[in-house]
Amino acid sequence: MTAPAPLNLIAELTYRCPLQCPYCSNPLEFRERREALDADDWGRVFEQAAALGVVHVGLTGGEPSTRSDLELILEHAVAADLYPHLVTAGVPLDPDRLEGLARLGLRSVQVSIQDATAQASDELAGTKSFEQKLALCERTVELDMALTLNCVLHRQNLSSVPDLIALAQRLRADRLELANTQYHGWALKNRAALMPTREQLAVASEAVQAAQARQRAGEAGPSMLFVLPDYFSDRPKPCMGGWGQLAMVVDPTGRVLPCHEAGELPDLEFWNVKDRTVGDCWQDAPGMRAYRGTEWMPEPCRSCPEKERDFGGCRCQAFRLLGDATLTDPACSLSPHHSTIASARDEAHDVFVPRR
Amino acid sequence: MTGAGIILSPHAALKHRAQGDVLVLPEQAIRLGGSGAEILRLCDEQRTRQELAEILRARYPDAAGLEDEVARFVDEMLSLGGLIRVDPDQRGPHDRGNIR
Repeated sequence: MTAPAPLNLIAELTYRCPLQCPYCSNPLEFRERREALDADDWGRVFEQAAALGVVHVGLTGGEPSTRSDLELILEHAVAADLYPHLVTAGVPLDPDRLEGLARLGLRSVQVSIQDATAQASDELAGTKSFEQKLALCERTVELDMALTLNCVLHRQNLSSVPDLIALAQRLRADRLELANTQYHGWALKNRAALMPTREQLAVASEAVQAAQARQRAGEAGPSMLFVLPDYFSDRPKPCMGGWGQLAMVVDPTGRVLPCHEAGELPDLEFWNVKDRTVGDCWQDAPGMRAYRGTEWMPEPCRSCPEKERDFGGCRCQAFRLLGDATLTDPACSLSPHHSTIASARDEAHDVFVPRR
Repeated sequence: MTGAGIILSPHAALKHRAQGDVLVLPEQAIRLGGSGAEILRLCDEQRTRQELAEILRARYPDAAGLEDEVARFVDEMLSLGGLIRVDPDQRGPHDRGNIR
């Protein structure tokens, strides 16, 4: 099929990050990999992506503020007429540097925290960082940029959801993303220690709904995103809005990918912006074409009326759990392998595999 | 509510590409069909729903169901955060208490 025009570029500027979160979805061996693109390379990527239809760029990583040339990269994004959005863990970015980025045209910032208190957040992050994250949130709002507060949820912090909502309110965040852990990379290794219980999810979900009801009655507060993890729902997520449909990832080595995990799938050839145009990499790389659309689908997806809604779920999850990326995502209750999901829910316990 | 104005969110941007117009928000991009971009451009400054409908009615005197279509689009944009309400007796769009 012909490639659709992407809207969103996820620019992974680096794999480096000062935090050690046990649910990190970075590739396990990412520390050995190098950043291949300098600021001018990124500028070329931004121009070519905009010509393809891209309007929004998420500057992310790893931690994008570990790059000393983040300012130059941002200037290129603005020059290419992209809406620049920064996704940061809050360190080593400090509020004064953030102010400089705002002056260069940064429009919005997503700050991730690990829990609602300094002690819990810093313990999970493995680095003292919570207070700096909050200072960064405050400065984001003062500078009239949009603020999204993000917290990855799991067994150890789901009970903090009411406190996270209150914190987002106090910080005047525009948006609160309560993102349940995706089990890739380190998170899959730590799955048993991260897996929530149904009861935890129900309580958290009720807290979100109660806050939304208070907002409808006039209370100020962030818009909230809380999605049930797919291990606990009957259908898989429409991963990335479909493979190679809306969002384009360029990883720190310069590869164009449909999602940040897809580069780990075996036997898929993706192309690199160092060798080819962004358009060629997006439209024609064999890996990008492999799961675009619905023609690749096996049963039960092929004859499923919902195939245009979830696109067969996540290829990476099918590979990680079943060893075969071409199968229906086992998170779907129609998958013949759905029992692998059910047994993972049951093996939950409380000990992390340490990353250090 | 009828007196309340609406205006494009300070965090929103309209972009034009060869494929069409797109509304860009901090974490989302939405392709605009029909007269979506035209309506949002009118919301560069504060307007009421009624003003919006009157301006478009003057441009498209023969369009059937135009007022309903404008109302539906405005509601959708308010819920997505592309448009925000400005209460006439309050402080303005940059007071975050109002950006909802």
